[in-house]
Order: sequence, then structure tokens, then C-alpha cells
Amino acid sequence: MFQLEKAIDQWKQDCASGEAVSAGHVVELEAHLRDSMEKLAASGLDAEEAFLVGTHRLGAPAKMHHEYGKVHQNHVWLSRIILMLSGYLIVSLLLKFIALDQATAGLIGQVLGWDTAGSTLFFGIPHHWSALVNALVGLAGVGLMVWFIVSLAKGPGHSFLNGDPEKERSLFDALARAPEKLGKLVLWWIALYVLLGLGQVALNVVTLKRVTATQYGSYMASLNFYHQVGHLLTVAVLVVATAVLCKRYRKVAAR
Amino acid sequence: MPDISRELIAASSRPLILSILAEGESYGYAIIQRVGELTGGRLRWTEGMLYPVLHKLEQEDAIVAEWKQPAGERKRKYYRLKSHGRAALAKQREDWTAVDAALNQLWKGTQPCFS
Repeated sequence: MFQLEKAIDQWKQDCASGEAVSAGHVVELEAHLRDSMEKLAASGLDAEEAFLVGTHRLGAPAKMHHEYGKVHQNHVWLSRIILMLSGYLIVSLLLKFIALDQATAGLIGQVLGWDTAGSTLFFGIPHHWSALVNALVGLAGVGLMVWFIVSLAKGPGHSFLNGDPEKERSLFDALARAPEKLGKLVLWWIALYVLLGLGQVALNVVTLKRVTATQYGSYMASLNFYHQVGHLLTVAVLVVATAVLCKRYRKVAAR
Repeated sequence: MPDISRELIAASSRPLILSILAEGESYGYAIIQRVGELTGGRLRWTEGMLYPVLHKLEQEDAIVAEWKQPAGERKRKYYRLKSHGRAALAKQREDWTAVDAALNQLWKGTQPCFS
């Protein structure tokens, strides 16, 4: 038994699976399909026939993806960059969050009256306090990232994960429908990590060439401080950049 | 009569869209219907390919799009010609008229040959 709405839903998913096809585009295509089917039904076709002829006239989704891709390159790259940034942020913020165990241990030690002065590492602040701050920043950051992705997946006018702006879906639903997008997401994260890794290697080579062994030793000692501050600053800048790009993406995708 | 060739369809899509929008704002499906009427069904677009062309024209600032839902109808994206698009259309019209005039001079007094 042919189920029209189910068939249309599936067809919309196929259309939306193209990187360059935004949710706004899918709404436009659906309106076209329904107009076309109405006309075909009026000329005597049943629902299934009208659907088959209507979708055939619109063309194969793969071909549409190709043609949309030529026109909407900015859209494609914007979504890729957002995926890269949020991937990097999620991993680095998760690492911060892992520091929670150190913080908890240190705090318990302090409550129990243990000598924890030896763990002073960051800016003269006892390590467990800095670890706690790190962990809270991490938790807040991960929450923020999840919110970015959920709001992109659920909000109106987007095709980030499910491509259907008409229906508010749960994150779970969106993820279940998006295995291939998640695959792409992971690929882009790896790409970003390779790039960042190469940058780090280059930085180390330059440093080693310029300093003596003693200097390098003290540099390594100071690294903890600069590393922490640098990392916090990087994360802050990336969070802002991701937020701005998400806003821009939603504007583009809603069209 | 057979359908018009792919190359000619691609080349004529922009002047056709601009000219149809010069008659007044319209949406994708209606534009395709209009093209069908004008050519007696001989110019068959793969309908989905119309939209990237519309979006490209929108990016070039030749046309502007707006979501609308007239009472009792479904929500559709309507496209309207802008002044920049009118200028582009005038240029297209000059070019196509020149080609048309040249072919007409060559074909005057001869019969189409189907061999």
C-alpha cells in the first residue's frame, strides 16, 4: 500500500542529503512537487503515479545536489568550517572536563587536611582550583557546543542534521537520521586535527632551532603557564567564532 | 515535433526566466508551466534544475526572492525582477534578437529540411 506522506518524507530526506541543499531549498522543492502532483492528479493519475511522475520531472536528487553545489559553495564551506570548529572545541573542552577528577581529589584532600601545597602549578593557584576552573569551563563549553548543534539540528531553516524544518525533532531522532552526515563530521574533525598538528610540529622545530638546551628547558617549564592561558584564549576565540558562523549559517540556510 | 536540445535549453533558460519575471513576480512551478505554454511543451526542463538558476540570478542581484503564503494556498518562494535584472534582460534581448535576425535572413524563402 503506497503511503504518500511517507514517500514524500523520504524524498525530502534524499534531497536534503546534499551538502549544498539547505532546508529552505527543500521547502521550495516540496512546494513544487505538491503543485505538480495536484495538477497530475487532476488529469486522472492516482497518488502514487502522480508522485512518481512529479519526482521524475524534478530530476534525480544526486543530479540536483550537483547543480545546487555549483551555486551554493559558500553554504557548503560554512557548514564544513562550523563542523571543524565545533569538533575541535568539543574535544578540547572535554579534555578540560576530564580535569574534574584532579580537582575533586584535590578538594577532598584539602577538606581532609592533607598537604596539597605541592600541587601548585598554575599562576601560584593550587592545582586543584585551576583544575576545577578548567573543568567548569569545559562543562559550560561542552554544553554550549551541544546547544549549537542541537539548535542547528532543530531550528527553523537548516539542513544540518535532518533537513526538515517543518518538524521539530529530538536530537536523538536527528542523530539517528544522520549517519552519513556524522561520518562527514568526523572526517572534517580529523582534517582539522592534522592541520593543527602540523602547525604544532612547525612551532616546535622553530623553537628548537632558536634556543639552547638550557633555554629550552626553562621554556618547557614556563610552557605549562603559557599553554594554559593560550589554550583558554584559543578556546574563547573559537567559541565566539563558532557562534558567529552558526548565526550566519542559519541566515543562509533559511533562504 | 521533437524536444529542443539540451544545449539550447541551457542557453535560453536565463532570458526565459528573466522575461517571465518581467511579466510579474512568480514561483518555480508557475515559471515552468509558463515556459510549457509558450513552447507548446517542446522546451522541457528537468524541473529541479530551474532552482539553482534562480538562486544564481538571486546571488547576482538580478532578482529577489520572498517567501509568501497567499490565503488558501501553500507557502512558496516568489521571485521578482530587480532593476539590475531588467538591465541584464535588455542585454539578453539584444543578443537574442541579433541571432534571430541573422538566422531569419539566412532562412528567408527556404523550407525547413527534415532529411
